[in-house]
Amino acid sequence: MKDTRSIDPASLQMLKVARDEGLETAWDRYLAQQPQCGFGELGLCCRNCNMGPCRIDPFGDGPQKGVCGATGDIIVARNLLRMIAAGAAAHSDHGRDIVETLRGVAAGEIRDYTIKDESKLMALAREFGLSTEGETVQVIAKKLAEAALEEFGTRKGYLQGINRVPVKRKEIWEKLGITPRGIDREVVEAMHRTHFGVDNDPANLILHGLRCSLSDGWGGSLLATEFSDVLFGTPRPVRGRSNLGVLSKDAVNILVHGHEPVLSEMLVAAAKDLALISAARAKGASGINLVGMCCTGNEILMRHGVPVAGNFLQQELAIITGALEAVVVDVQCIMPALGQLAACYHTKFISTSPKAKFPGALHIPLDEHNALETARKIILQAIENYPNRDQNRVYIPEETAEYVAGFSVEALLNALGGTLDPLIEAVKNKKIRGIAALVGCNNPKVTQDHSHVNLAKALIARDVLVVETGCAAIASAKAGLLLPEAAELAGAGLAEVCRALGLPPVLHMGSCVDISRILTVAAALARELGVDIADLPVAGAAPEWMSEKAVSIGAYVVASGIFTVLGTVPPVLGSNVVADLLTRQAKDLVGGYFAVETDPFKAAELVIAHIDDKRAAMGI
Amino acid sequence: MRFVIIGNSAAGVAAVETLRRLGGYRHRITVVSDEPAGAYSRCLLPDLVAGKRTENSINLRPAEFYRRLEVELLAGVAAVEVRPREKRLVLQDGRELAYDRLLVATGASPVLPAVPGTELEGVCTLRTLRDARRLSALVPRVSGAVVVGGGLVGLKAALALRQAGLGRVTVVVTSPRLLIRQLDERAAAMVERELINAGIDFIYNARVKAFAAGPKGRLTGVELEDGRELPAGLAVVAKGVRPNSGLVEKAGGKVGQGIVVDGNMRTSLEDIYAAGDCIQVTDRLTGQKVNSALWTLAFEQGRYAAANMLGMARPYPAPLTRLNSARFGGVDVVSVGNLEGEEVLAHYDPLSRTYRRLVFSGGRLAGFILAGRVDGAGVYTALVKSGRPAWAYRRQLLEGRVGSVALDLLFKRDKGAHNSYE
Amino acid sequence: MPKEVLIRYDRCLGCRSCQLACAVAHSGAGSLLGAVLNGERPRARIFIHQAGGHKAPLNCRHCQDAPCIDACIAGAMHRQEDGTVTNVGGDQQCTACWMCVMVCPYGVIRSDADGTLALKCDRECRDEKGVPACVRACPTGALVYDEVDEYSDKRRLDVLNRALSNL
Repeated sequence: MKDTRSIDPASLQMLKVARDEGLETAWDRYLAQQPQCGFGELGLCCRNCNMGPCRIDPFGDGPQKGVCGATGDIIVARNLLRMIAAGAAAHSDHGRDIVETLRGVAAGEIRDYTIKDESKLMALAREFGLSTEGETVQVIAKKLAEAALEEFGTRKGYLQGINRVPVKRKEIWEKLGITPRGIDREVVEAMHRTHFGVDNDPANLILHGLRCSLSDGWGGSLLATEFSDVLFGTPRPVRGRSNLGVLSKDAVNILVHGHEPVLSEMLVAAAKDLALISAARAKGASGINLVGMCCTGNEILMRHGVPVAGNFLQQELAIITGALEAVVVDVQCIMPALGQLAACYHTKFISTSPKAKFPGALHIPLDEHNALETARKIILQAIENYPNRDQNRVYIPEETAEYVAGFSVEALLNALGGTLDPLIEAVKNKKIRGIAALVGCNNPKVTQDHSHVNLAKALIARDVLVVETGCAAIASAKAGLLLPEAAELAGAGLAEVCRALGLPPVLHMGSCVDISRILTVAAALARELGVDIADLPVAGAAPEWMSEKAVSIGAYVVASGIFTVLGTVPPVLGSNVVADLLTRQAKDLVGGYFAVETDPFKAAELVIAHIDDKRAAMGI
Repeated sequence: MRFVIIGNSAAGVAAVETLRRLGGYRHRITVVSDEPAGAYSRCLLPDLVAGKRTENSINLRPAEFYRRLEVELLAGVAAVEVRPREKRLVLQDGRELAYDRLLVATGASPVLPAVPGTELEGVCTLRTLRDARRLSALVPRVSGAVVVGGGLVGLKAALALRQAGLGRVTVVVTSPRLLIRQLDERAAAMVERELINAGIDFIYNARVKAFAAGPKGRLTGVELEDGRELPAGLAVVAKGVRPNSGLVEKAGGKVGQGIVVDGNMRTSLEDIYAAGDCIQVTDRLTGQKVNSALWTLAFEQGRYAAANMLGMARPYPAPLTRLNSARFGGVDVVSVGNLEGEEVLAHYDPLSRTYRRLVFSGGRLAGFILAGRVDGAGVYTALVKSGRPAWAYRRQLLEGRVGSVALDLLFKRDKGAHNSYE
Repeated sequence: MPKEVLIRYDRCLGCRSCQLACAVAHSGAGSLLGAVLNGERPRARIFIHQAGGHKAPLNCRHCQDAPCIDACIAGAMHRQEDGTVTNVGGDQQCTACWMCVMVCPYGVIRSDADGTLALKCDRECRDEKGVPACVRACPTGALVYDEVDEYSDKRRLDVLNRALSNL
């Protein structure tokens, strides 16, 4: 019988190995969880106070209210707001770490990093309204970092990032009272509102959810992206290889996994250290092979062309190759299962963030003030571990695919010749029908990469330019869609544009915080055209999403005016009121709205229908 | 062995099924019935009158039932004599049937008051299919009806007549309120409200003096003892039933409040058993000898009698003889056991619009009434039946949280096992 | 030997997953999301109760001498060949007289949403392996579908079943 757990042959091979070795993966645990709690699936359970836990009978048979009197509508709305708050918090706390690092570098406290993109620094300083005249780069950087840190805490007015959107969009937010204020504030307020006995109006709760998510999209995530560019360089198109086949049979394999580039940048540098390379050789290895996974992988692949070993559901499979000397993790999307799994091999599971410790992990905390040294220490651990590798247990799938990644806004503009005009022209003359952003995770509820790859293929075949981040982008990398050669899979119009500009039909724009790049492009396009973002022939999709960050992303994309298709069902169906708000009323309120469609081919139809509607409305 | 069963309702059908289930197909079974055809649900006759059901849909068993169970059915013929010494049964048409074991399941017949006019056309009972047909035929010819008797049958008949389209239906009740044997004042009032809303009038504390005839010998009205006269073309008499114990009595069998049977359903006559509404039973709670007269009991007695007829000694435990469930409009009522006792607790729950009355004697639940919603009624019934200490559960029982009571009883009963598993 | 749904009381967490699964299995759509999206109101036939410190499901035991069959005035309640006691799919239709409700010692027969039908466990929820929905849904293995004797052999006595004959 066909194994439907993944479409990726490398994953399928490793799942066979896992079975032979008697090792459990997320797919096994997902099956063991079946059937999952129906109340949870519908969002109808509440644990917010200790009069509970309460749950609401969706069929009107059992209890219809919690102890406090909360209806299913209230509970679903509160739960959703908490998911958004958690997602926004994750992105934004990541952003804060990057800004803090820049501040430390500017203040001279942190020496291992330098400012890689001065012109971006200047541009951001201007955007923040800072005077740059006659100031040194260090001083400007310090002022900028401090101004950016102000975005998180109490401040007057609204977030700086919202000034990137067209006036029309700002007015919509203002009217609804959802213009984001402090980043931390919106998250704190979300937690406050969902505390017992505060906000019990489903619509009011959801509206704050939108505001909270906007503080992520136009705040925390945006700062994470922009300040990473300043510190580590703004990505430019770069070629590299993807999938588990990037692991080496004879080199010291180090997998970096998680989300923040602060440590991984140093690891990339340290892995090139000749002393360490000879140490590796002294242990019988051919060298050091640093590879990435998930968004840490995305960060270093788009800046350095570091190979990416896979996306979310491949983290365990990478260990099962038996070829990893170390898995080095920072924060987010790291399965707590890794420790026990790594213990079945010689693999060292090394955690590095004080915020994220794991069972079975060796904790080597990242010291920003001595980051390179930390990186060297970690790499040495891996090198020392190389002789422990049991080559008889090594199974590395051959699958790899090349990619071209690194389409930051700046890189895209550069490819277009400095302005958005060629893109706008192509959209106007229908060579490009529209633009779709595919983002998000893997989820064992659906076949790994099936929805990502098939939705992307279906869209480019019909001349929709696809832009991607996160695990969606890695899925496309593995499927070869991130290459200019993939233009042959595109419709005639899109293919023509791709060939003329040397672009792939699917553009890798970065990690999941880099959805802010997509927002920035959308906002810039709208401003160029003198319309609102909601008027553009663009759509979003999260075909295999699983994390709370994805909920925040979905919310800010919709709140920014963009129609978004979810490929796994969010836990909101327990409330008609909330479901209706998200899938219908949102259209009138913010222009964007959600649809849920688990079939990627049908999702493609939804996206295309939406794009065609928007084209018609614009008269193009 | 040759089994003959007189009677083709609940007890007869249950006996036939049990004889086949436990005894297989080597025995001959003959069923004699004065009813024209197969078994039907007596309790659904009001639905037939109301026009809510057809005759087909009140059949208790499908048409092929007797063929499938290889039973000889002699329908439409009454049994007139039992000769216990010869082990023969004489039928109305002169036929004689030999038996090895005989089951008397002759049921009961309505009691008619000893007043003039009960023989008139228009004065009916509602006990058999024939009665129902007769009533249905009369309904279109009259404009109003009087129902005599405020018990379950009377009220169901009254409601059925309204539903059948009669403009005026008056119930004459001897007692100061309806369902005096089943309900207390409060529950009765809940039912009364439903019936009044359905357009039924009630006259309490009244007795019938005579059924008055018009020139053509048809009923024209009902005279009450207080002198009132209620014009009506139709009267339904529902004043209870009397066991059909004549066959056994004539044959020399013992009869009390019905045919007397021992713990194995045997009459005082050799190889003659009896079950159903025709017998006398000992009430489980009061120890009083009463006539059986409940569908559920008839069914279980039929089963017990059959097992005993097959030679399997199955002692029949003393039954609860008050066990009633009915629905009147939006109010369901269940009434089981004694209406009075040492401690009586009552509570109306406005949220579920349900009234509960509990009667305790010696710390045990001796009876209860539920009116409104009756979910979980069986847990109360089981408590009454088992006679287990129940006073500690009074609160849960009063509030209708009976699932937890059922669970707790089970935990307590088998504590040893509960501690030992796993 | 007929199978029964048996209960390991110490494993029940009171999550009501069995109840939800039972309702879903008796919905038109047959799936939770489908039933919710269609606005259906299917009713469960298994119930979670708490007695003292124990939470436990209560469901039909499909009694040997089922009082509900005796009590049914319509002849609708019957036993199927596999031992299942049900008032649907037989020769006659349920008339909602609640006689079965009155005599069920476990209180697990109830009315439907409109009060026109007595609802009980009918085992019309079994999958291709014959396992009922409530058993499949139980996350802790508190519900077991097994032959009574086999289960006893495993020394996991079912209290409900033992108590049944005594009630």
